[in-house]
Amino acid sequence: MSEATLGVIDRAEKEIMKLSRTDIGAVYEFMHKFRNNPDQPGLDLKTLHGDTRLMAARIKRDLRALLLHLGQREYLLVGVDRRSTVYEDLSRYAYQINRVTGGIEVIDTQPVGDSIIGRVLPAAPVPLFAGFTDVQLVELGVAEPLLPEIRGLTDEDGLMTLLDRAPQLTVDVLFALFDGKTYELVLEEITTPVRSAEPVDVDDFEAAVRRPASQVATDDEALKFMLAESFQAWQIFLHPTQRRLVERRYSGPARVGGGPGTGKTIVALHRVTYLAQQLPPGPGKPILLTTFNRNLAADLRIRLRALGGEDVLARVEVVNIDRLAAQVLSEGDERAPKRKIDDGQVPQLWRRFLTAEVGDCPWDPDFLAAEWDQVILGQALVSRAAYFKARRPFRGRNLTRPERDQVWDLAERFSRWLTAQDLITWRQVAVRAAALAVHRYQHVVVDEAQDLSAAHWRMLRAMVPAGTDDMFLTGDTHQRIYDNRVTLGSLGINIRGRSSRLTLSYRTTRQILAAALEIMSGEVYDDLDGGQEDLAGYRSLLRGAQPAFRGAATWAAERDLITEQIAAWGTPSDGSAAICVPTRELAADVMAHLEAAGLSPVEIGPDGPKQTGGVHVGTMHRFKGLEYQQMIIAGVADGLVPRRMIDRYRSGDPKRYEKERQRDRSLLFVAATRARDELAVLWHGTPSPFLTERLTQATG
Amino acid sequence: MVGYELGEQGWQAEIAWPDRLTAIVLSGSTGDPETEDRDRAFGAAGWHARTARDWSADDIAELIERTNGSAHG
Repeated sequence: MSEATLGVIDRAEKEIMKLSRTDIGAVYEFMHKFRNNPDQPGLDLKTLHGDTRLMAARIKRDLRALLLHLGQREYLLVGVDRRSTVYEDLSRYAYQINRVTGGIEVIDTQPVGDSIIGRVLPAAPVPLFAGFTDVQLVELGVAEPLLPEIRGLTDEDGLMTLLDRAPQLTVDVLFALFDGKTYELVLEEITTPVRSAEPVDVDDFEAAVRRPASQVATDDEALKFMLAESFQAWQIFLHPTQRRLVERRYSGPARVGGGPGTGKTIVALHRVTYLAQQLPPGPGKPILLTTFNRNLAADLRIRLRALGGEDVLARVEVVNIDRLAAQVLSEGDERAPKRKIDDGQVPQLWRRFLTAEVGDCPWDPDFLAAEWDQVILGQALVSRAAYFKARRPFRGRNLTRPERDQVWDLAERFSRWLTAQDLITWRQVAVRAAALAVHRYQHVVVDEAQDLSAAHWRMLRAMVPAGTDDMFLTGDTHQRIYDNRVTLGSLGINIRGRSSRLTLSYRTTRQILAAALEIMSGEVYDDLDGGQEDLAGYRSLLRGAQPAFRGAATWAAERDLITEQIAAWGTPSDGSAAICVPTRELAADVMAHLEAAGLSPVEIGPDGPKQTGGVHVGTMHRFKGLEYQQMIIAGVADGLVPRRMIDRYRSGDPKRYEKERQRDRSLLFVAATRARDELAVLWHGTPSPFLTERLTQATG
Repeated sequence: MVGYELGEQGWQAEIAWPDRLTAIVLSGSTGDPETEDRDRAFGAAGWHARTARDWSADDIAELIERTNGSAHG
């Protein structure tokens, strides 16, 4: 008896991640036992069908591990499966060392296919890859065992099904060919960069497993993702397109964009780890990792510790941007007001100020509040001259110079009035901090960059000297749920030429993505540097059920639909399912209702879910950065989504109305893309105008 | 008019004569996309917008003369 090494290949990781939490625990137990002694009888390790390398072992009663014996005491976990399938049909698994990359590839050649009943097939289907020979495909790096199946492909759906379980290089090559690239171009752009530097011996598995192309997690890495709360979020294996962005020298600020679930946060975390590892040893925290939201900052810290360990964490300050600004302000100006107030209270404060201090005023308080919040603080304007020069796009009403002069006077008085009461808004904190900030970091990494305001950027710019690898931003304007508009170039952060986009979704199924994109349709977003960004090319390789869209007559009836749906999903109580509603009142009501039905609801508070188990319930704002296997979005009714209260801007301030409406649409989009496997969208009365007729009539 | 804003984007002119589609704009640093976009926007709306340096002194004098001081609106 002796110890063995057991790595985990990426396709096995994906299969493990699809298991229930209990089963994941069992896999973890199994791996631990296996490493101690693979030959212990309880594991029932055996070769199958005379194959010398492919083996199966027992994880638990109905679950089997599929292993590849690499040599000596070295094994690779290549899959997990229900007992029946493993023993009955092992021949469907093919494995090989890829001749191009030298990496190990394991392929399931006959998965359980989706039904194609009801699909209209074209009369004379032309095979998709008829224009390429087998030799060409293999030279490009396509896995040989998949060739027969590839030859039978006639449409995109078939291709997507196949790509679900194809090795990475096969996926990349076939996608590129499908998109119309030539053999030569694919060879140059995709195959050559991943070609093994040394000659490949296709029988030497022990050498192959050590090549990065094998996408094998070591024991330690495997352990980390197994222990992780949100396993999908781990994504230990960066896609080559992601890795390229992480391990690189940038001559200045760089940005990575992409739709929800494309792995932007994971890229940010790997980037921080990479930068920390390049640092010479020493004390202090020369790297800043920041984001807008307090929840996300806490989450980033946990994940960074797990990814990089204490050594990396010791060199990195992880803090949300407003807290950082408050630190800078209190250190730089001890007389600054102490009582921080939410920016949402600004209109109310302006009303009080005008009544108490100004009396008869020709200006509308809401207009002044918005001008102060969005233009003066929003653009971090600190002098009258700067305000005179500032452009005020989409403010609904133009101002002449004398009018600006009056507004500036009022804004200064308002600010003094707040200070006299020891009050300061968070946006003011950021603007004041921006003026006080000094260099204190070598690298700044920002996740969810789209949420930061001009003042935040100005502060960050002042905290890191301009130079190589100074700033790395990840963000997606389609997830913009706070309303800052900002052009980075004007703030001294020039990302032109250093901007890239991730397009492959690792979280959401194609079906859910299609519905979410339909919800977003018609909306145009700016990227952080003034250009327009679209979701073109945004795609997923995951497939699942069609999302359900169901309406009820009343809220009470809709609540019953919620409990029905939870029951239909087998009443998951391990935190893998969540219910999302537009308002706090509805959230409280859903909580009470679930409680009465004997379920254990867990509220998602400002710091995230209060417990990990149960069924999570929260308002749409709370879902940013979270992810669930199953999600219900309830109350997607007219008057609730978008909020009825924004109607008051409709005639008076149409620009504001459009902005608020777009914000609510983004919230719904964010919520929908939190769902990994299944999504149900519910409403009562008239459905939300964001749900197209096609969606509301798709299911009953 | 001092401090004119063009359209919903609010492109700014220092001094403008809207009835004559004529404006004096601030000079920006060369290659600044804001400046380029502004000039393009005024151009597209049929304006003659130039920086003070690009207008000749005579042009400006004539403009002010013709509007007879009403430019201080």
